[in-house]
Amino acid sequence: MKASYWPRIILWLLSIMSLVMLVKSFANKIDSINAGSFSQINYMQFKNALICFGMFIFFLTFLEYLGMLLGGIIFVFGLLTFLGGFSIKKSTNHLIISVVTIGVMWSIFTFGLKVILPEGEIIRIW
Amino acid sequence: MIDVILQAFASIVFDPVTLGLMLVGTLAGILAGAIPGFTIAMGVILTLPFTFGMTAIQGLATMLGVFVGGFSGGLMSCMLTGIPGTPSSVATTFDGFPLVRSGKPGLALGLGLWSSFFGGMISAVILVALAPQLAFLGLEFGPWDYFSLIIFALTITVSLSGGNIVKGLIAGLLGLFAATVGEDEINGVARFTFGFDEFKQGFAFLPVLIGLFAFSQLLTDVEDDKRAKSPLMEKSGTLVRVEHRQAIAIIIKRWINLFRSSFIGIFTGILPAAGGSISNILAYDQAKKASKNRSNFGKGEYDGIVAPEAANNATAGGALIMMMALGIPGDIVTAVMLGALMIHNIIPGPTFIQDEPLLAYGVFIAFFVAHFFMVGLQAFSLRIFLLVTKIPMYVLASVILAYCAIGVFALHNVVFDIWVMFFFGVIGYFMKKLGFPLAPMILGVVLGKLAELNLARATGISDDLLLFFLRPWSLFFLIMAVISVIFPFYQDAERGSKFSNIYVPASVFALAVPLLFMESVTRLIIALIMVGISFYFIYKSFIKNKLLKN
Repeated sequence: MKASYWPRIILWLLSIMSLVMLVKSFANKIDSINAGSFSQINYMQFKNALICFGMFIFFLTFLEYLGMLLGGIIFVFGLLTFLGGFSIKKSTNHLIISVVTIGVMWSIFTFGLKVILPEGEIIRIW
Repeated sequence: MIDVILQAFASIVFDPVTLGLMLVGTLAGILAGAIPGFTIAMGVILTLPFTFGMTAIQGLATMLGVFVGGFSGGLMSCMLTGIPGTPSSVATTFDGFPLVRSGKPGLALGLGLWSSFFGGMISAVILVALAPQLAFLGLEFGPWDYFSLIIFALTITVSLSGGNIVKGLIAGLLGLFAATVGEDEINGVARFTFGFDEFKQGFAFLPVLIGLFAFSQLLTDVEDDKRAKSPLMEKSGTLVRVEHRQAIAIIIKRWINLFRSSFIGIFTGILPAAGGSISNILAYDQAKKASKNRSNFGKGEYDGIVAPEAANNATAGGALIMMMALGIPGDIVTAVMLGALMIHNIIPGPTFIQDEPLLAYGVFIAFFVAHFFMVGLQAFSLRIFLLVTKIPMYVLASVILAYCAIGVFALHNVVFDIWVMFFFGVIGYFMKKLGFPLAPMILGVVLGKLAELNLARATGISDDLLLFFLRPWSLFFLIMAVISVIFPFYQDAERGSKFSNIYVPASVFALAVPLLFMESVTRLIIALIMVGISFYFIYKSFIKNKLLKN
């Protein structure tokens, strides 16, 4: 069997299903008043998800430099601050949570499970 | 045989490390099941990274602890707060919460706990008895039959995952497609790599799974600002003393309900994709229909707690039967376990019990032991549950997202895997938003390579594609696939319509046809009985229609 055989079957079936979905969406009667448009979509509902995406991309991009321990602490602290809000009391709590949880996880994987997590250039130079 | 069982027993019960891991796993499962927004599957998925450093049996035993604990954890939140912790405990809320409100919280918890225990024990016995037999049946399968079985597993997942069937099929196909990325196992040709070396190995199973399931779920959990900032549960209940003796006595008096519900759970578990979320409602419905006190249901009826709790724990055993015997996951949890076995270079299939008897019987014994832990840990886990529910969701989600990244990295020690998890997390999140079920996609990813391998083997042996329809087992599974695709239309059809009248008898008759061609007297007898049943159904609907016309 050629390497392209199986993916082609899947892609053909995917095309057919997509076409069925398209035809079905045209066939469904949509109330033009209530149907909504792109401008009416409440983009704010994705705010927290987008924050998570952004923080995760930041975490992954700088993982090489920050390492898993420092990068993880910054990631959790940043996410907690963005999602939970900022105040001195809250930030102190968030900092404690991020240091303790990431510290415990890092220790379990490094010492318990013997996984070599990325050290990060900053810690290496330091 | 006995020496293998004793060895497996010793590897679980006399190994303090394995017992300790199971204990922690069961506790984690109870909490995962108890917290709304978390599911048992998520608990098992998040346990997987910890199991890399363990032996295969330790890893599976830990995950079984989470699995079994999760089913009983759901009953704590639904009884004490009226909010089901998992979809598997929805029906328990109907009578569990009213019984608690009537001033019997200890009895309600006891009934739920011991029904879960007995349901699990019954399914464990069936698992031990049935899995090796089913595996013998699996030895008859050729690549054609295996390919068709995988197609059936996918279509039934689509049909039972609810919602739009076309979207479900697209999700399943996307899963199969994701599994094609990388070098193909037969010719070693790179596919969809776009020149990136990292893509040559294909997407590892764990990052895809964590991304699709856990990552996307966490994003959904923090979506609503107000909900994300408030504690997991506004009403977290109070500490209660479980009435063990009274509960056991009540359950024993209702043994028919217990056995009926357990068998419903086992059967639902055996069906690919039909998990505890379906079995608990089915069992509750049957208990209500069979009860003399139907009017008491919804007001704290004991039978209304026994049925769903026995059924949902029994589902676990049923799902394990398919995984152990045929290597086909019954649900997302068993798909993860399958992935865990693959990490240890063990490929489950019909020869699994024969090839790895120690591991197979170890799984059976761990399943038994986990139920004892579940009962023993309930009082302690109730205290932790009351503490955990005070934590806001955004805190839990942030920490778990970081844990996902560390866990995924631990698989191959490459950052690329974390990117894969992120990519599939984003896909999973938007698919959920657009109404695509994720279960078919996950099963597609898990079974994609297996499907391609069997298709290649089948076409390698013979070019004749008709063999897929001429081999009895293959035809049997393909007919099952067609029946499962039509099933949602049957559910939507009006009762008494021509289609709804013909669906069941036609399905039974169609399934009898391949059985007739199998070389076995027992199967011939079963086929003839099925033909008889289908004609009886047609005759019954004909008489009913005639009476209606008159």
